[in-house]
Amino acid sequence: MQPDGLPPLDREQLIQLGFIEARGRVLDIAAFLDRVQRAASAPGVPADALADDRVRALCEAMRLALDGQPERARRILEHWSDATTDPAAHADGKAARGVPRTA
Amino acid sequence: MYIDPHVHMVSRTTDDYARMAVAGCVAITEPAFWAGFDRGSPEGFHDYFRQLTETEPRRAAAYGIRHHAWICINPKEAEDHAFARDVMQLIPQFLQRPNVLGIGEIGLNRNSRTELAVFEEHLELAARFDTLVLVHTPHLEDKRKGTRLILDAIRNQGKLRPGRVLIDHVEEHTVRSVLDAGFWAGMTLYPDTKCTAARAVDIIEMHGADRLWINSAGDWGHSDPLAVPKAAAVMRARGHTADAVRRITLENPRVFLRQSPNFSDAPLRPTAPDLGR
Ligand SMILES: [Zn+2]
Repeated sequence: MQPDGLPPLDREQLIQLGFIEARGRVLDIAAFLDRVQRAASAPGVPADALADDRVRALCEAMRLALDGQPERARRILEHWSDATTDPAAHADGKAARGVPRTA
Repeated sequence: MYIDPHVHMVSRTTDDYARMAVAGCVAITEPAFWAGFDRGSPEGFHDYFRQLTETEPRRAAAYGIRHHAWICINPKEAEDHAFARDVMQLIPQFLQRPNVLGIGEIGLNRNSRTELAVFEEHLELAARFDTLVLVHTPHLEDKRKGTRLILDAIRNQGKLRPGRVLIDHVEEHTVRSVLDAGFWAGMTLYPDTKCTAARAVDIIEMHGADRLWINSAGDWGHSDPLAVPKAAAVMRARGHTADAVRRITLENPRVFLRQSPNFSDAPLRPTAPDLGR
């Protein structure tokens, strides 16, 4: 076990192991954005696909993934986190939505 | 051999027990949780607690799996404070049952004031009966804030030793604060939310294996009761030794759970007639 973060496998081995799966996921994200853009907007919702705060939060996360800095996964999760600190007056339904409303 | 320390078998079929046994599962622990609908009365919870302490141990034993339970009212049903208190009255009698390890899975869901108050009342129960505690942290955008509120509440109460509390469903942005405060941390392996096996192995590589375990949290939703042995396979593919895999999937859960005298993973002879299918 290497708590210094050094994986047992070298970079080439890790790329061999994960590349095809990661490639497929990038295509899934691209196709998701294409699909959202192709669709008609719902009544009363801005026509711009990126106006949706969830879609915008996805795109912001991709910028973090491309910035070349370490701990991308942690930083994306931080970016998608509710930044308030006080308990809510009441539970706002049972289910979280994935990104804060203000994102 | 492995332990799945968080799985909701009331929502799973007998075939799942058979598959888990074949994959090497020797013991499981099942926290009380939300069944996908709100129960209409404290009696509904009483029946559920009987299912967790009478029926599931029998179903598991047929496959040679030791079954243990955690009792509480989960945060999704804790928004009605008076109702939650009525259910909490039932807890002490079930803490005496032979397969019960402690209070769980308590915690927060939408980080509301009432959820927090009910969480704190459960912490008092755990202190009074000197039990282990299993804590659920919220989902998605609520997780970081909820984890902070939970750690603060346990610290402020000051009666529970961190080594007897497991904070579950940690991810990259919460694992450090949990481990640094001396608690145990659980990683839940889900297909879309929480952790994938690959990310759980990343977290082990980056933070070490001390006080860390993995679980399937298999339930009625999108989840996989074989997630633990599958993650073990991913860990081996990533170059980790058999000892390292055994530590995460067996030794670590054992160390934490053996703090309760009711935990056992001693071999149990399966009696199910359909094991050889
Ligand atoms: Zn659970």
